[in-house]
Amino acid sequence: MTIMGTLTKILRYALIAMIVLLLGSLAGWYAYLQTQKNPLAPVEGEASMSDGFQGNRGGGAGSAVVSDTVTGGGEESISTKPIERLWRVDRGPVAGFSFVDRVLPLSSTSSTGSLFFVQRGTGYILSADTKTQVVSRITNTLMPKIYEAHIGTSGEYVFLRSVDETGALTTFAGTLVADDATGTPQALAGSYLSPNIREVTLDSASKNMLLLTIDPATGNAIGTTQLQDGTKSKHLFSSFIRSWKPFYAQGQLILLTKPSDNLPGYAYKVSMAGTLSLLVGPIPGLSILPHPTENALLYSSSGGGVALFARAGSAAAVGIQLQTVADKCVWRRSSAKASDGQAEKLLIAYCAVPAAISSSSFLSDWYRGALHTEDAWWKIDVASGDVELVFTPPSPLDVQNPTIDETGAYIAFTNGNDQSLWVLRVVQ
Amino acid sequence: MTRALLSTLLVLLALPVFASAQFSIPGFEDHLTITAMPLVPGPNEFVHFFIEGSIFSSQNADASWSVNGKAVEQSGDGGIDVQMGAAGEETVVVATVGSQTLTRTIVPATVDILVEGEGYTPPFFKGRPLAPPGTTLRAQAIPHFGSIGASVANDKIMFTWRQNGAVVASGKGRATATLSAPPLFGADTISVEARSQDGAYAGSASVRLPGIDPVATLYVHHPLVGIKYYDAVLEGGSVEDVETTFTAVPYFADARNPSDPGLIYEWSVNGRAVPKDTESAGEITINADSASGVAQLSLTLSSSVNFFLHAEQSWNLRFLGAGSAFPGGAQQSSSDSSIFRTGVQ
Repeated sequence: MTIMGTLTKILRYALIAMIVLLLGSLAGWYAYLQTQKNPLAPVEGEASMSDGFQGNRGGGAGSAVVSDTVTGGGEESISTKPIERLWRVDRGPVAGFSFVDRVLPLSSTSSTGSLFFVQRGTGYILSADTKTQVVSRITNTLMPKIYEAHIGTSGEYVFLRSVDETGALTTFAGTLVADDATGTPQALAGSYLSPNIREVTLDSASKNMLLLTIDPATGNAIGTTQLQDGTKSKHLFSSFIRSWKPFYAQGQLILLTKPSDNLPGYAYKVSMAGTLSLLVGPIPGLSILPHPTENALLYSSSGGGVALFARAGSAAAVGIQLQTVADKCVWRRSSAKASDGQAEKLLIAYCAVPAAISSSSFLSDWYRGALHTEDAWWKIDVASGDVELVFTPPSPLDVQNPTIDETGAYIAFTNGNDQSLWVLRVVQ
Repeated sequence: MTRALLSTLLVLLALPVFASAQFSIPGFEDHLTITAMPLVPGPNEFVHFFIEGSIFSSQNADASWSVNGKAVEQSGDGGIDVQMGAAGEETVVVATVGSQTLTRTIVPATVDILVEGEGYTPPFFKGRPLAPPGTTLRAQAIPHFGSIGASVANDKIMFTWRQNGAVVASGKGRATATLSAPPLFGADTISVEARSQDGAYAGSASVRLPGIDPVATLYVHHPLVGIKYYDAVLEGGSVEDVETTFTAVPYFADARNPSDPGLIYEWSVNGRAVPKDTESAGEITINADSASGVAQLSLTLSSSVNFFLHAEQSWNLRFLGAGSAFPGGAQQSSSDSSIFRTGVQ
């Protein structure tokens, strides 16, 4: 009896000890998990990757405090965070972005359109409202390693570009469907285009697009136009030279030989019959930015230094007193309204200007990501050649892929260091 | 008979007198033309126009000139100097000499020379591929002959390609050429001449190409984001993650892709050679969970098919998360904290 009692007591103590140990382990494990960060989880203040819509507010110095609406899982909440002049929309990296005429999700408060962008690590498409600085996710189809994305200005079509296991370039043509009233992200429907499309560019003024491929038989480049929905495909031109950077501007296609320091570059207008007429060149390290609607051109050279030029109409080109490349510039749309409400007729461009360019092979180093600049935003009146400092970011930003909205009020761009997405409100 | 001979002689003797002003004996007009110097001018070039006769030159004296419909004053010799417009832009010169009205239309001609190499560039690279030694470069001539909308077709143009002055290709319609790349320590001048079949248009262009020595650029290869082409890893750089995969991208190398079997990658970390990974030779994974300090990553890049390619590079990298072992991860047994584990060991 005594032995049995002792055994029972030992077992009881052992059981209690085991329970204590188990609870302690669980508590320890819970505490440990609390200290760990999910690498895929959104950082506080950034766009969420969860299924519900999440508000997103970037960092940086604010200029005004307002109340705004942040969507979160279909519920509305009031935020008192300040609206920032320079807003980091997404930590990045992003693969592409575009101001679109469409408002998604339908629950968004925006009435003028949104900034759509594609996350590079997930392939998710998100929408940013530049006025309220709220970000919402539109799609939930996971597509990692999206290196490049193009979004039509209608907001209907997206083209997600990646590289498959064999090294072939892939292009997924997706269609953004209208979301339901709950604002739940939708699957991205679409299909893959033929592999190894080297260049894709969309016409912001129409639903046209250009695909540049290589003819396996001849090794020549082939330019094919089609509508963004994939219909009306038409062979436009073929060329022995394969390294072209296409643009759509002034209702037609423009081809630029890919820029290279010191090497002569040329840009051509391409007629509907596929013939080339010289736009500008030869200029060493030529890079261009044609005006989307007017007969005007910004271009830069890189050869023994970097220089920027502007040309309007048939007038001779003039040198701009800013040392930057056309890649860092954007034209203000002609439809942008001036302060008096009338359509602005002036040819105005905004350029991000590096504090210093020390490399003699700037383009090569910059394109390889081996060099990053610290830029400030300048405004250029092309007719007079006058320049004016617009904004100096509080922290270094290497501006890439700048694009401006229809009103001329917001410029979106990526930072070259991390491909984070930023929006600058042009007017203070 | 003698009178007739004398009359003819008198007429012949009087001809130069008429010719100095204008030749206007009815039935005996000289055939006049407007001559341009240079004969085939380029865009924006100044051209001197003057009148020549088939029998006598210097017919400028009493000419009146207009250019594109606007009257122009004669220069000292009676001719005029006119600046041409852009390529393809017509300049119409009209001269009136006595009863004759002469017209000359000039359309400046140019030739563009476009070149690119066949060296490797990664997907979505914004720059132009260059040609490393031992490879070929592609060249294309784009002539702008004739007015806009009425250009001369390539098959009616004779092209002559030269490399450092020596003709390397020529022929009617030969607007493209594949040439050898410039040598490693030197430069080549590539030029092209184009002349229309009727001789009305001609132009030339040239480009000087220095030899290039390809090197690799190092990037982080993230499992979700892919290769971070936008931010190269530089010497003395820092790496945030404990374990990181790096990719060496051989810009402009003689290769179809970074895994080209012709490329030879020899990696070492802190002086210790890393066994070759045949699957992805251009990549190396470094784990710094039990190491600290700086990892010196070295790469020797060469080619089994192109002996010009030989690049030795190294990067001193600081792993910011080094020494913080992963929970549950195996500790490195070595006490040498300079040993960084690599993905292929």
